[in-house]
Amino acid sequence: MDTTANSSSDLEAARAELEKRERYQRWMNYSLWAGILSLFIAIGIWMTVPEDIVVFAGTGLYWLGFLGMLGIYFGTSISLEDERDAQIAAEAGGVTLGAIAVLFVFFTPAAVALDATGTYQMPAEVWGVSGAFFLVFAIYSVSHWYYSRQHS
Amino acid sequence: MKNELRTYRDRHDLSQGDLAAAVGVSRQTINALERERYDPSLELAFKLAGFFECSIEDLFDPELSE
Repeated sequence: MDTTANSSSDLEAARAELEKRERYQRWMNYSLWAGILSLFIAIGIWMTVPEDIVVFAGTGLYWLGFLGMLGIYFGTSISLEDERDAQIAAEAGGVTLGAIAVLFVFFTPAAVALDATGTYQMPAEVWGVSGAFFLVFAIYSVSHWYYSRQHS
Repeated sequence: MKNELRTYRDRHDLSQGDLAAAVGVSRQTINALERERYDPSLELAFKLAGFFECSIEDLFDPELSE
């Protein structure tokens, strides 16, 4: 909503829009949780009926739930999050990236040094984790560059 | 940021939900503002001031002198 409601009729319309936003947010959550639940149920069934189709169907339902959530988010003309939601997401994202940065900066060079000197043979998973950390920063760098250009 | 949002809302006999709907944010955002746990954007500050027909300085005190 970009305007401010001042009259009582405006306020009624604004209330209706706020209710619609809350309803769509609930539907998004239901869709996502239905997808997640479907996947867990499929895995549970697969443990007793080990047919591949069961797990694939669960994965498909999970994707459908996720796509349903995205469909509501991008399909509606009203904004489903406000500025406080955006700030919370930005702060949580910043803390997450900071935690990954600390791990990447301290952990990866130490792992390389220990492995190269033969002090400790690193398991293969360590390089997978380091690669994932690197990928996160590569994506962040590209995003940062893109949005810097957008706001310059 | 210190603010008089609660005072102005009470004066207009509005619920947090009504004020939230009027300026296009969630009720939780109005609650966070009143508890001084969240600082509004300039756009939201202008909307709130416009709604209550007062200046932003009447609603918010940034305590810049401290």
